[in-house]
Amino acid sequence: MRCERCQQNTARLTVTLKTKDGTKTSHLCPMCALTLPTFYTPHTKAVRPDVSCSVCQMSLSEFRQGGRLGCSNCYEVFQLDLADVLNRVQGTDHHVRPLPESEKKAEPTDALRGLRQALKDAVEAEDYYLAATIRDEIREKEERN
Amino acid sequence: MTMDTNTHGDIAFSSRVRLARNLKDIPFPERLDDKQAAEVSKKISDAALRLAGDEKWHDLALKTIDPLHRQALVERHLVSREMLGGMHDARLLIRDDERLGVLVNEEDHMRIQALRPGFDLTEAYEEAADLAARLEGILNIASLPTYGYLTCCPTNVGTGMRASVMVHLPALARADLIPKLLQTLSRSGFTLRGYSGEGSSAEGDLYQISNQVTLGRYEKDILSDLSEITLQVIDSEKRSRQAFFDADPVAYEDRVARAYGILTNAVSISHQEAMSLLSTLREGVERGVRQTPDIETINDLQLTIGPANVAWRENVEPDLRGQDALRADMIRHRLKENHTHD
Repeated sequence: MRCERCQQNTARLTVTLKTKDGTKTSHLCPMCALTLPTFYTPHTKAVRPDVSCSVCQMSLSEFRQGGRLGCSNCYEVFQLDLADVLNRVQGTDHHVRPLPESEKKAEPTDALRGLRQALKDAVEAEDYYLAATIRDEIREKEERN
Repeated sequence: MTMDTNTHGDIAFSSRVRLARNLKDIPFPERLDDKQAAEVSKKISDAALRLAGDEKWHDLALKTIDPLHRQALVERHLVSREMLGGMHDARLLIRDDERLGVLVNEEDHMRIQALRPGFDLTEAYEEAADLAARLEGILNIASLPTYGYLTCCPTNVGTGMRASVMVHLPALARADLIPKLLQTLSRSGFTLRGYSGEGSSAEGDLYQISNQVTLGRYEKDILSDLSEITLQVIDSEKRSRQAFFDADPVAYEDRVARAYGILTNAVSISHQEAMSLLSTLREGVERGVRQTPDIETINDLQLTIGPANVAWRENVEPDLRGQDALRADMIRHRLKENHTHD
């Protein structure tokens, strides 16, 4: 089943939302679920969304289980979890290559790093509303760059 | 960088640098279906063979070549064991001298590898990096400023570089120091493995020292650290050999002479026994206890007497008994050919 919101990704979550007319059940993909203030699945409390990669369809849980990425795009999709893995296996989570001038703008600034950490903390605390706000801010900053 | 090729070429068997590269936004090989895998394979082969120009290269589709030939490539370290595990459309593109190649559709879309005899990481790196850069000029390679080159396994991301030196450590093995060495190296960010790579036992006392970390460091720093640690291991091996020699010079010389005696007279010999005797003989030649054969002959024998190589070359069924006889024949022949009056 496709996600009701983006009509693109697989709907992996059944979400019950409180609206002013009562409650509404939606089938969403993890990425869209992340934009909700908070969400519930039947019989469980809020769960951490199982994000998946749009290029190779690898899911976060698959990545966690196997420890391998499915394609180059996964590095962006799973970057929150990746930082932990990289720190564990490589002792660092970022590359040192001196960048040519043209690429320098894309290098994350300290502010961006701080925001990424804040996003990670928000997701860990299961505060998806805050997470969505931070994520939008990161996107905006990245686009400006 | 301290790379002392001439002095340590004896204990160092070979040096290898392997660079992992992937195409942008195309699933990594294990997530490709047959059609996509064939497309990736064709794209990379076309690019690499175009770059080869006048050089003679071979293009081996691992799925379709003789299984024995495939196994023989593994024994010669040109293809990894993992690559035989059913990857679709995996290919080995290799230059005629077998010192430069590209593995296509293994764990990553491309593994560019350069191999040099002896202790020669700089040359191996330059050759691999040059081919990688030229491939990057015509293919859309996946990289990000934060992570460097993107790879299927996070253990290779960043430089994508795995550099290794194969060293001959019979004395450290005899002194039972290998498990300890393995521990200390691993704590310092290096890996020590047996001859055939991951989890393999050390046939012929040949071990591979390689870097663990691929991210957050420059290639030249990784290479220079690896060189430094390799020189320390070589030095330690030399001291251990000296200690064995000093303890009983006659026994030392006798072991080498007996190894030579068996290798030049045996009518049938197993791979394991041959590797072990060649290791002893090699140690003797390196120490100067014997003048012949030369190290190149021993290198060559160690790489080509594996079961699949013997069967493939002689075009026979890999039947053990017949194979052991063929192997003994081949070794006798090569050693006698190489014999000068000493």
